Amino acid sequence: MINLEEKKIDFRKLDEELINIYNTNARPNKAIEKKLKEAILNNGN
Amino acid sequence: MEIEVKNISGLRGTFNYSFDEGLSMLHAPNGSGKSSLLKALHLVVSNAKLPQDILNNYLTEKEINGYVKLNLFNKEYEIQIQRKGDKVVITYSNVEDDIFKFPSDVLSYVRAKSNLFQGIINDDESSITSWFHQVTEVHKYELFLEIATRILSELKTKKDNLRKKVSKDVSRNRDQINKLTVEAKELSNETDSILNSESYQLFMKEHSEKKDQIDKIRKSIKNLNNRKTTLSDEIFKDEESVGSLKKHLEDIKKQIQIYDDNLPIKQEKLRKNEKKRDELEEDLDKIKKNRLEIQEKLNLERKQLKDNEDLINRETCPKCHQRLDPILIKDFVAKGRSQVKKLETKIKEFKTNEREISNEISNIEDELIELTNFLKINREKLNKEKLNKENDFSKRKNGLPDKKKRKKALVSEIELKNKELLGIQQSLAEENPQQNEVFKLQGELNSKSQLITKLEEDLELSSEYQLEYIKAEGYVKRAEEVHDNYSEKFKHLSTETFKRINGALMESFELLELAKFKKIIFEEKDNKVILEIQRDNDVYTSLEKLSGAEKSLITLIITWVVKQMVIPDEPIFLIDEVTTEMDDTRFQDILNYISEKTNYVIVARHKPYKGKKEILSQAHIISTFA
Repeated sequence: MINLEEKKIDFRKLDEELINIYNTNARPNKAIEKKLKEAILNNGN
Repeated sequence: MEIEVKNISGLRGTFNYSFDEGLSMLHAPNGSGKSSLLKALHLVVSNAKLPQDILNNYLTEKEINGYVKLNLFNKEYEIQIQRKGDKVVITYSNVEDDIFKFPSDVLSYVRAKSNLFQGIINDDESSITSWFHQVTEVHKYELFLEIATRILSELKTKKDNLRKKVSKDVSRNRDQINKLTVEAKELSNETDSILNSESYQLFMKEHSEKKDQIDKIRKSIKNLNNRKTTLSDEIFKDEESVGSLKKHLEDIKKQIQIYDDNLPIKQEKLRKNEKKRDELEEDLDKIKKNRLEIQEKLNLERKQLKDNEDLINRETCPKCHQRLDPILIKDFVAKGRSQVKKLETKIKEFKTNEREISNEISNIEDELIELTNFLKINREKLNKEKLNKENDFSKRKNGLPDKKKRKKALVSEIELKNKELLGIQQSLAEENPQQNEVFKLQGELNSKSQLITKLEEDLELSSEYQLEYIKAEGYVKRAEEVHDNYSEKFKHLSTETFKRINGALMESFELLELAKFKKIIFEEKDNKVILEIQRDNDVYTSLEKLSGAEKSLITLIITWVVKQMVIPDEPIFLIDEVTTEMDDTRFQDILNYISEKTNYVIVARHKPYKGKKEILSQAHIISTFA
């Protein structure tokens, strides 16, 4: 079981990254989805 | 402001336009290129960050590339647009300049197709909501929330599917266990019914009795065998003893015979030997005596010889002092020497003789000891020993036949018992159909029990999908966290946006006055954004009751107010076909008001202007557009 306590999501950082993606990509949906999935699946963030 | 456009939207080829500051009017028939020119400007104003599907419409169909060059405040902005395959790619320079900080595609571009205008025209809350979210950062969080919701839904579906698989797996095992348990119970009942049947009970009783009997016989055979072994040992020992006693007895008899035969001879020999020894001792004494006499004589001779030898070199006798005859003396000495030698030889001979006689005496002494020993042997003792051995021998010899007989009887008894045992064993080995059935049932029951145990173990262990399911649960929990975060932020930002936009609209009382409205505010109702309009006469009105001109006015006012709130320094404001009712004086007043506060306001409409010329005196009218 993944330990959610181990790696909490840093929402401030995530917000910054998502807004940056939104502002720099003409079609940001896929990149935002990828970033959110990374955060949820504990791969990144 | 100069603009050069090539192959943008409807404008095929290269076109140059020039705009003065203030309000510019473009009116020309439909399809003449007014909107295309506004699009070209919008491309620069929007900071070139437009979605691909919109960009695709921006390049003239069938053309491979186009561009927009803008000279504004003596600064060049350029956008190149190229078709690559089915995509349109854009490159730009200077468009990210200070002036165009914000991608203001919905704020500086009021058009008939905009969500706000369409929403107001059609009283469509969704379009108004969409516009509302688009104009500030709310729309970003709306997008994050929308994607987070989708991911959450996907993960939940995945989790639910896994849950189904896990429960399917578990229930399949449970079903199998239940089925096997029922079957095992049936087998157990069947076995019990056979075991409890009268015939089987009888069989088991007999079986048990036979087993007891076998044990008893085996015990008895063992006992008999032990006895037989003991008896065999005894017989063996007796036979051995009889042999050795016989030999011993013969030895004793031989000794007695030898004794009896030799006794007179030995006695005679002893007597003779004693006599001979006595004679020899006598001889020896004589010889010794003779030898001593000769020895004495020898001593005298030696003395005489010495005296004579002393006289050899002398002329006179020391005793009588008479003259000595040396020849005579020498003769005496030679005779003396010969006599001494002779005597010495004789003594030597005597000594040898003595030694020989002594040896002989010693031999006779030995013989005498032997003879004495022989004569010392007790004849009575030998006889007694002989008698004892004879008794023992006859006793053992006579007991043997009885023992052998007893042994034979034991062997016969053992054979009989063995036969009996074999008979019972054979009857035990005979097959019993009921017992065979019991064995078969018990075998089946055992294998089912093993299978049940294995399945129960499997149930306890993680099923194939259990781990994945636990992981999926964790992911859903995180996805919910992300979703809740953006939902909250979206709500918060949305509320803030309401406050700010409504505040800005309230503050724009000059514009509202020109438009003859008392209040324009946004409100939220059931997660949708709605507009509330109050006319000057204090009457609240719904959108559908507004005239077309009023709807255009409201669109224009709202867009302008929000644009001024968010990007007050944006120098270009574009209005495309929302001014069909421009003959309304309220429009003219508002356009004049806006153009006073913005460097360039460009209005495109297909209808020619029929209003008061003095109001639009600053307008640059392009009547021969395209």
